[in-house]
Amino acid sequence: MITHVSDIMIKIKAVVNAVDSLYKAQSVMLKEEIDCLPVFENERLVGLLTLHDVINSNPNRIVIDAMRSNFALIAPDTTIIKAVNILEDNNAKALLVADGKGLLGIVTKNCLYIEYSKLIDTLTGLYRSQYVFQVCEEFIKDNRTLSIIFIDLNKFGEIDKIYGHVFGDLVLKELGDLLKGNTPDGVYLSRYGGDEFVLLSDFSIDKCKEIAAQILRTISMHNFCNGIKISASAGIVSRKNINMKAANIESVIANLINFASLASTKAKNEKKKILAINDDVANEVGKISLANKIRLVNP
Amino acid sequence: MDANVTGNRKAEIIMRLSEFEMPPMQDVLIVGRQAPIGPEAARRMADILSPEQYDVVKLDHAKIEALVIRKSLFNFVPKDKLITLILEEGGKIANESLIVKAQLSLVLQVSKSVEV
Repeated sequence: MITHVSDIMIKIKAVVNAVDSLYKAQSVMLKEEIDCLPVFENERLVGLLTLHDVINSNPNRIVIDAMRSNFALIAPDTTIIKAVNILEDNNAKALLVADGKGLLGIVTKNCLYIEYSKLIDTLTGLYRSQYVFQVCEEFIKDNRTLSIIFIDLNKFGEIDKIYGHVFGDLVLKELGDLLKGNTPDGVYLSRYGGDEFVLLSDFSIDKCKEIAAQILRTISMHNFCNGIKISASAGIVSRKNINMKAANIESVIANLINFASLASTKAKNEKKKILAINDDVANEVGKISLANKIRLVNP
Repeated sequence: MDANVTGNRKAEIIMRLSEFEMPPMQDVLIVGRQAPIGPEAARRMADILSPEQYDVVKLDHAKIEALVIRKSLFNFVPKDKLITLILEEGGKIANESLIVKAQLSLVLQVSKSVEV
């Protein structure tokens, strides 16, 4: 589910030398049907030549006078969101993917943005669940506390049933805008699923409770189209020091999101509005009697 | 061929001899953004013929990509002032596709008075 650059990179098929002619580089690009070439000099990587560079330069030039030297190397397990940040920070047209053994591939700007666009929900303009997983992975890689606020609308299905799904979509869009305007700095907002929203941060559980309470208040006070009132419940989970060497980091993240989701359901059922799960998730899960459900996500 | 038609062929050779300039680029090269030889190629050419005597100064300029300057000029005039001076005059004639070579004749005038 978590897409890394290794999933979308184009494998290195050819390289060019710094003093090769642009004509030669262009021929290589046409033959290999690629629009990006790593440039080497004395077995050292010195730059990156794109088709745009070739078109934009005098054809008599040598490669080093047309290439760009502001390239960036990234690891194959870099997430898409991290890769986009690196690309933009370096104002690069492509990123080179390498591991300890050498160059593995190239990720072009176009290819990266196509993948990035898949992370955005077209209805609300918010990020989608895949984005949540990628941000979680980056948090874990950076050894940051991972706090998840899972917001679930109460009885949203009834709105769809009474007013129709088109109207339901309008409400969700309006809610998306409302959340965008009320999400504090340092919090990553996304639409996880139908009427579920996730906020990620490295804040303490108490701070997350404050944020969740404020957001729930904002939602319940807002007059949605047709004067409809909506309420929501929130589940919160927060963990520190997640072991990056865990066999499957994705399942660790999936479990955490699920805990938060189940906590929001429990909060809704018990009319508590917010339910938070402390650091030691396994113990807390036992206390809130979700063991059976947890088995489903943690077989 | 008709026996009445005659013809001949001549090749005329004009030879011009002059001393090869070392290096063939004098003091400064103003390299246009679309010039057929880029700054790195020019620097490498100069480096092979006159090792370590030239510097490449990349510019943020609409038409000029870089200047390749003889390093010894910086002993006379600070780098920034020299670049400003070259761009002021060279920028008027340089264009994107040209490489312009410039010769700078620097004379340092010193006048001192000594009490006698």
